[in-house]
Amino acid sequence: MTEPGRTGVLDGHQGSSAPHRESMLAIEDVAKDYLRGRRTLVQRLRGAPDQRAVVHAVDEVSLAVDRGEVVGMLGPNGAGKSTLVKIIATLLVPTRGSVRVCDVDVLAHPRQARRHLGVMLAGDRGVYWKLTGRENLEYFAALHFVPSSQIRRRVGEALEEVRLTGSADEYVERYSTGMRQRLNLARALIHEPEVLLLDEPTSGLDPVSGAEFRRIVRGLRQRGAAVLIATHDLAEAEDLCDRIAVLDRGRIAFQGSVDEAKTLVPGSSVLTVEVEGGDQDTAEVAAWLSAHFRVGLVERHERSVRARLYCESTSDLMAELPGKLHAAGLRAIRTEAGRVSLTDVFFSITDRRAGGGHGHPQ
Amino acid sequence: MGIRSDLHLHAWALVAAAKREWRVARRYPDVFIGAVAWPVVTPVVFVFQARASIGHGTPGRTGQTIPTDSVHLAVFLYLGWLVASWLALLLTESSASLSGQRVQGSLETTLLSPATRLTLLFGLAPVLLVTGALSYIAVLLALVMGFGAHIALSSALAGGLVILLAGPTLAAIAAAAGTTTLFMRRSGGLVDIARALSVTFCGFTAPLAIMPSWAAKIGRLLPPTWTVNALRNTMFGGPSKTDWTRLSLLLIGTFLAISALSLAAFAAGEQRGRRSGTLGGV
Repeated sequence: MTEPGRTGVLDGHQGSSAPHRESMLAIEDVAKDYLRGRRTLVQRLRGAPDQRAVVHAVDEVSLAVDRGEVVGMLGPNGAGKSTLVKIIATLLVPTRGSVRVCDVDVLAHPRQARRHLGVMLAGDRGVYWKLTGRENLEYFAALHFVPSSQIRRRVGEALEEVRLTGSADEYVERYSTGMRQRLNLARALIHEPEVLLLDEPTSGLDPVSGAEFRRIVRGLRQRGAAVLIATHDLAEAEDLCDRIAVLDRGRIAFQGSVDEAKTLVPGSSVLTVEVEGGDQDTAEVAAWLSAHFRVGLVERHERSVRARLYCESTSDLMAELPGKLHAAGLRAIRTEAGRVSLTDVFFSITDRRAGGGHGHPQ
Repeated sequence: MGIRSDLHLHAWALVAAAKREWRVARRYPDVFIGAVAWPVVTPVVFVFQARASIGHGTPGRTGQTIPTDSVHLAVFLYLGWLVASWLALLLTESSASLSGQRVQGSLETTLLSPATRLTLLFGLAPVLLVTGALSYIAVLLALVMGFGAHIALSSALAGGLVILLAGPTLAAIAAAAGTTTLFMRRSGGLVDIARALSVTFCGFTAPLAIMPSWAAKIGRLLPPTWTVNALRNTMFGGPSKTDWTRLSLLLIGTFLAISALSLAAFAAGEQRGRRSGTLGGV
C-alpha cells in the first residue's frame, strides 16, 4: 500500500518520512466544496443564475495514520478538521479524493468501513439522554455488531475504561458534560475499532478527566489502534501525538513530528513580553516589535502589547531588551522565558494574530 | 460482506432499537395513557352529535352504511376513531422520534454504525403496536361498559387480529411520514396533512358509501380504510364476514411495499445529506 500524505505534494511544510508501517487510515487528495448561500425555489423555477459561492472546506488533503500511531490534527476554527473527520466517518461525501480505512474504500463500501471505525464527534451530543449510560452502550454495541454473548462484558469494560461504572445506571440527562463526553468515548470504543476518530475529545473536560482521556488514548496506541485526534488543545497534542498535521483554510499546512514542527519557529526559546508604550498607539508598538525582533503571537490590549519573541538564548535577549525598548520610548512591564511550544508552531504556520481570525464558516 | 450475509446481526440491531424505544416508553408512559384516553374520550362528542342529527332507527348490519341504532352508532364511530387516533399517534410519534434523534445528535451516531436503517425506521414500531392494542381494549371496554354494546368474544378476538395484521402496515406508513419529515427538516406540517387526509378519506366518521365517488375511490385504496372496514365487519357481521386471506395479503403486501419505499427514501435522503453536509443538522 502506498502512503498517502507521505509522498504526496503538499502546499505546506512537511516533516521527514517515518519508516514504512501499516497504514490503517489513508486519505488521498481529499477535497470538499460547499455552496454558500441559498437558492430559492422561485429562483430555480425562473432559471435565475446560481450566484452561490463555492467554499473549499477541505482541499488537497492527504494524510495517513499507521497502526499504533496517534496523529493530531490541529487548526483554527473553520480550518476543516471536523469536515475531514466526518468524511472519514462516512457522514460526508468528499467532492473528490479517496479515503481508505483498514484497506476498505470508504466511499465505495461505507457500511464495511464503519465496522473498523470508532468515532467520537465534537460535543456531548450523540447519546440518548433518556437512557442510562449502560443502556446506551448496550444499544450501540448491538448496532456495531458486537455478538450478543459479549455485550455485557464489553459494556462493563468500556464503562470501567472511562471510569463511569459507578454512574452506569443513572440516566444520561443527569450526567455532567464531562461524563457525557466520557460516555461518548466509551460508545466509540464499544466495538474495539481499529481506527479511532476523535473530534475535540477533551473540550469541556476538567484537567483530571483530560488526563484520564490521555491515559485511554495511550492504551489504545499500545493495543495497536490508529488514532486521529482533531483538537484545539496544543498541549494535549504535544503530549499525546506521534505526529501532527496542521490544517489551515482547508489545506494541510504542515505534517510531521512535533519536534520537526518546532524547527519551523525561528528560535528554540521564547520570551513572552508585555510592553507599554505610554501615549503610543498599540498598533505602532506591535509594528515596532515586529520590525526589531523575531515575533510570534502578538496580542494588542488597551494600553499594552503582549508578544512572543523567539531567540536562541532568553538571557541574551533579556539583557538587550530594556535598552532597545527604552530607546524607542517603550517599557517592559512583564517578561517570561520559556521553550518553544506547539502553540508557537501553530501561530507560525497559520500566521494568526490575536483578534484577527480568518477561518471559514463551517 | 453484504446485508444478506449479516442478516442475524441486523436483526439483533433491530431488536436492540426496539428495546431502546421500549425503555424510553416505559420511563415516560404518557404515550400509553394517551393511547387509552384519546380513542375513548374523543368519540363521545361525535356519538352525541350523530344521535342529535339522525335520531334512532334500525341498525345497519354490515358497517358500510350509517347505523342509526344508538349502540351501533357508538360502535361505528368508536371503531373509526380507534383507527384514526392510532394512526395519528403513529404518525406523530414516528416523526417526533426521528426529529428528536436528529436534534440530540443520536441520529448521526446511529448513522455511524453499519446496522440497517430499519433500526431508525421501525425501532418504535413495537411500542406503537402495543399502543394500538391498548387503544383497542380500551375502546371495547368503553363500548361495553359505557354504551351497553354486546360484543361476542369471537368478534373481539377477530378485531384484535385485524389490529395485529394492520399494525405493521400502519407503522410502515408512519415510517414513511417520519422519513419525509426528517429530510424535509420539518416536523409538524406533513404529519398534520396526512392526519387530515386520513380523516377525510378513510371513512373514520362516515361510511365511504355517502362520500363523493371520487373520494370513495381514493379511500378504498388506503390501508387505514381497509383496517376500519375490517374492524366494523367483525363487530357488525361477525368474523365470518371478513375475507381474511384477502385482507392479510393486502396488508402484508402493502407493508412490504411501503417499507421498501421508506427504506429507499431514507437511503436517498441520507445520501443527499452526506453530499450537502446536512445529515446531522437540526
